[in-house]
Amino acid sequence: MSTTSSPLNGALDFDFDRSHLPGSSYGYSGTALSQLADGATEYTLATIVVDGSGSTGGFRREMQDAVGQIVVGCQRNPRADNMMLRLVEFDDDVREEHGFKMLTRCNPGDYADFMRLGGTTALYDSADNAVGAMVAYGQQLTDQQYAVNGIAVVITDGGDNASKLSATAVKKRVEDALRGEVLESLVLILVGLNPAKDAALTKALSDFAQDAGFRYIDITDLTPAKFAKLADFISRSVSAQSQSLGTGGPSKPIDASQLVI
Amino acid sequence: MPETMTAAAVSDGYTVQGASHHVCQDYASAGTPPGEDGDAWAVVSDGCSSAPDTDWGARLLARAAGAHVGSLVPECPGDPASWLAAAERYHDRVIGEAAGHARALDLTTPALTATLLTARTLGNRLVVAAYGDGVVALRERNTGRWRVLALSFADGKAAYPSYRLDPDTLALFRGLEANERRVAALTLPGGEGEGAAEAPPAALESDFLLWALPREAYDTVALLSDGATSFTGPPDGGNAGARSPVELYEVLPLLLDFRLMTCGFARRSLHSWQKASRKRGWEHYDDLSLAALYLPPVAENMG
Repeated sequence: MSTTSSPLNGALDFDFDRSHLPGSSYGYSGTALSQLADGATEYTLATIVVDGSGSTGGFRREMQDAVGQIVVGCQRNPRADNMMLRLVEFDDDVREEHGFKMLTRCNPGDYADFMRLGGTTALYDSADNAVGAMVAYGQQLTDQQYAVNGIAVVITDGGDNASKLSATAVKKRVEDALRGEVLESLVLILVGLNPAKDAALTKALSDFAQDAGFRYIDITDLTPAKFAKLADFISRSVSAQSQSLGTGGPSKPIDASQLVI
Repeated sequence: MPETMTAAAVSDGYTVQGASHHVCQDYASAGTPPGEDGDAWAVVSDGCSSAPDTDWGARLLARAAGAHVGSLVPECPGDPASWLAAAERYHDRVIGEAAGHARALDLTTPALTATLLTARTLGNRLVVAAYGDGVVALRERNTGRWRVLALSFADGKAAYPSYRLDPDTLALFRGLEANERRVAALTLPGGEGEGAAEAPPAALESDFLLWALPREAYDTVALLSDGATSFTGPPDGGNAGARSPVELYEVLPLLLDFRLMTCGFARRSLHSWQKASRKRGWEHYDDLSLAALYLPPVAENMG
């Protein structure tokens, strides 16, 4: 995994530390501890993982717009100072567009053209990396007495066909994360983009989600309006998770019924 | 000749409510004196539980202290009497301003019955003033050990700056012969015995204690209200559920376990301590406030 080739990295004007992720071929990066906001005591780590495989080409623009809208939505939250966002794109590879970055330093305009499409679908590798990176960076923060929780949203239009890791490995990563004491709580959401209303795809994704500990949301209507609703849902979920920090538990799920067709 | 540069001090403060209190009567505050590059201050104020509205009083005192801490400067730094005079003047200004605010809020004078612990840097000095009870902890730069001074009064009647508002009350307090001030000294870690006492740094004495210390000798100073001495352990199943006190030398290593010394370090430490405390089944029935200064190493500019 490399961050140097990401178009979003041109916007980085502060220090990121890169780290290896044990048990994975991919690493992660996060804002250097010396660069964290003055006075902050807690952070919600949010990770957005988008599927950049060739089959998502038809809604590339909508997905990029949605990520920008998620940033805008989260930045409107009074707790924006306590949120960090990491963006990952995957096909048969897993690419970190940017590591854990303070939300206040994210520029929504930077997300207009970040996706580089092609390849197959390393869903398990990317989901594993999302969870593992939150735990590993969260450990760095909790070692410095910050309170931390996490939320990851993985958006895909297909089942895994390219990962080095298995679904079982993802399940174990999640179980370890929940069992550990690094993240006060962890919310995991898998969004399936399924315009063909493929029942087999829905089953494959929902089975994986259930087994690995993700909440599954199936979206069959891929209009710009539906993507806007998805962005709103995700930003509200991130905000709710941030609000729950300090309570010891996860946020209450936002109603996603409007998204499901 | 190397030119000595003083790195900017970092200050922070935070308060948590005690289990037996309906409203928090402690307050901690921290900041930088206007116009004084590299200097910082921290204060803790603990309102007397048996007086009315001291939650307001503690806040007013802390606010006034922040406004006037810049006046805690002796006219003649080599003269102990000059240091004491500066501290007397400082406390007079603080309580005077707090009393003005209290009147505006229609609060009575007893609302100002609150302690005031102050620490500030002043160039190459670290100045600490303790008016009332509480804990002052100084971490030696060279050894990393905490020199801890636990301040109390034999009869439980703490000195309060508000007594300065009324000469009769001040005289009455000074006349309480059985109520002498106590300073218990601890060193953490204690070497041969955890919490073993060593001679505390010498203080100048008035109705308060005052230390004017060399800044380079300490890298951190922490001020705590006497809530630090109010911890109890988990219920004792064999003793009708009674809780035993937890000694200060057990509590302080957790409370003073500062990590990333950037703005917010005291708050992060208290949050972390709350989690650790819960795991151990500890409770503190009194409010607890912590304000601290971190004094980075002095850098040398060889130019």
